[in-house]
Amino acid sequence: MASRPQTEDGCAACVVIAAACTGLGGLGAVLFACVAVTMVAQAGARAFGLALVGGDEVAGWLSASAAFCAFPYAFRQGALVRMELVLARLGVAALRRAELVALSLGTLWCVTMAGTMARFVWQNAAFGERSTGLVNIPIWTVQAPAVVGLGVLALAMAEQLWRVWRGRRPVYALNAEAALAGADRHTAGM
Amino acid sequence: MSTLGVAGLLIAVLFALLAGGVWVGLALGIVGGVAFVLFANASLIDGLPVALWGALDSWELAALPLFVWMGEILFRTRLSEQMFSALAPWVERLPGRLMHVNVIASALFGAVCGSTAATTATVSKAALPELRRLGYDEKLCLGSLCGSGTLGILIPPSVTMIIYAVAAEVPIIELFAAGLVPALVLMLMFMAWIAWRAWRDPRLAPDTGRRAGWLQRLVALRLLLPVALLIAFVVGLMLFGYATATEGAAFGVLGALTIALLSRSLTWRALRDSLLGATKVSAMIMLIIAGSAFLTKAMAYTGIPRGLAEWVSLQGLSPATLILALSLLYILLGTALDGVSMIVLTAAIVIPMVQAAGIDLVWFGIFIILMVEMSEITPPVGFCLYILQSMSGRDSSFVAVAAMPFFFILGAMVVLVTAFPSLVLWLPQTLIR
Repeated sequence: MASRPQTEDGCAACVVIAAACTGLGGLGAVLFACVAVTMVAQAGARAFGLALVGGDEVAGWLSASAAFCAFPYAFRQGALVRMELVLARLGVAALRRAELVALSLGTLWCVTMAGTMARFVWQNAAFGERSTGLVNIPIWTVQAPAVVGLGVLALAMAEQLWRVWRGRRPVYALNAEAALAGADRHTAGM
Repeated sequence: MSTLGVAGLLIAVLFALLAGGVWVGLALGIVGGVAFVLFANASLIDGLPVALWGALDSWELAALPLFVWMGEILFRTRLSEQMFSALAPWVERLPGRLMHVNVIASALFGAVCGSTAATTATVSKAALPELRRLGYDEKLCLGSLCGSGTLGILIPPSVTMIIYAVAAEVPIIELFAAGLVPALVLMLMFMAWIAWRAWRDPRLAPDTGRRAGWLQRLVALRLLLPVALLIAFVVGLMLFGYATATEGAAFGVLGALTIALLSRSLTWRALRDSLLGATKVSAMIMLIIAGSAFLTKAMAYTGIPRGLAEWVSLQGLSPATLILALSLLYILLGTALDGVSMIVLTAAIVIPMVQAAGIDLVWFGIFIILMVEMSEITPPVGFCLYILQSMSGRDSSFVAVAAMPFFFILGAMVVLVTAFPSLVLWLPQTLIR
């Protein structure tokens, strides 16, 4: 077991954001598992001559929601890919500046995504938009996790921006190093 | 601004962002945002969330996390050790001996797993220590593990094929079927190379004097039973039309869990780790897909893909020339980018172009998969190289040089499928169309 990198910052907001990332990651994992359950149920029911209506739609919603929930978790774990070619050749000071730029742009874009998504889902709720397929429910109910996931991703980016600003190494870089060191024992990934 | 100028500007912005370390999924989105604001008379406020949600709300894409999870579960079982013991007695007499197990085991594991990295890591975990102990040549050993690990995405199920299928709107199962024959040919080419090298220099694969009789060989095969059943179950269900790719993936998870349970490797910890590992990988891929979906939408407003497709069809390029040009482009991109990014980055532009040139999109899918395979073993950025580097403790250049011959074999395979497209198209046409 690789020693756990120092990833905690003392401040209350940082602890809350880190916990939110982990919690949402767990929720995303459970939702992905639910996709499997739904699909097995659908195919199983069909084999016995029963029709389970709308399994495909539900699977799409579950898997999309799971992904949005898991973005902040994947980000903090260092699992989101980026091009390391140039970064790997930078010195400490230049690397810090590059991280600051990348995190600023990332935060800005995540805020944009979260904001527009929130407005979109809010409007769907306000106008009573319903899903169009076999399962007829208010569509905002399945889209809400997207707002939460993108919102927390924006917060997590901002928190790392602050961390790097204060001269510490970003958590995602530490986690990515730890994962690579244990690639044979833990996970393979892509 | 001319279309060419716009395209140049956007590409420059994209590569500046990527080089600066902006996460790929976000960089694609930002470039999409720039294109949208500058060139589309549409509002970002509506366009962005619709594209993001629309890209991920897809039952076809839901197969992706499940296949990743299946591989993560099997990675934590003793499946690879079992495959090694079952296959070893069969290849002892071939020149190259146990080195061939690397290829066959990778192909078998590739048939229950959708990624190159998981395949490489799983097979290497069992093979590398054993082959080292027996004094096999490390370079050929690492190269063959690296090269045949890439079979993971050519043999169905394949995460990379799902990503391409969703981007190009090609039926996933046809693509799965199309990969089988090329994978078989590629396996034979890898094995022929190993045999040739070992025949020239027998010290590469020293004789350990072990000879198993036929009875022993057959008895050893029982260890392959779990993986064989799982392949027959999952791939069979899908290829013969009993289940969609997503349902097949869910049954794959169920089968993998059963194997883990029966081999007593299903602990709570393994279950949790495999699911969280799959969640991370899936989130990573799906953020890239969401970003590229928005970029694709924005690009349609700029008219670049259409303009380029028209330009290509006006040039009267032969498909072979176009494929040659694209091969060079992908090899270049492949040195710096991972496979998923490479596919989604180019999909918006390359697919209309290829279609205009009259190239079959299922065939092109296999071409892209071979390109991704090559990219995974080219330095400086190659996932298979990273994994073997960390497992062998060798430095990156040693592993990259070891993988080089297999890169060229993959290149030869690209030439083969270009010359004989029926290698790719025969099976899906017979089975499905």
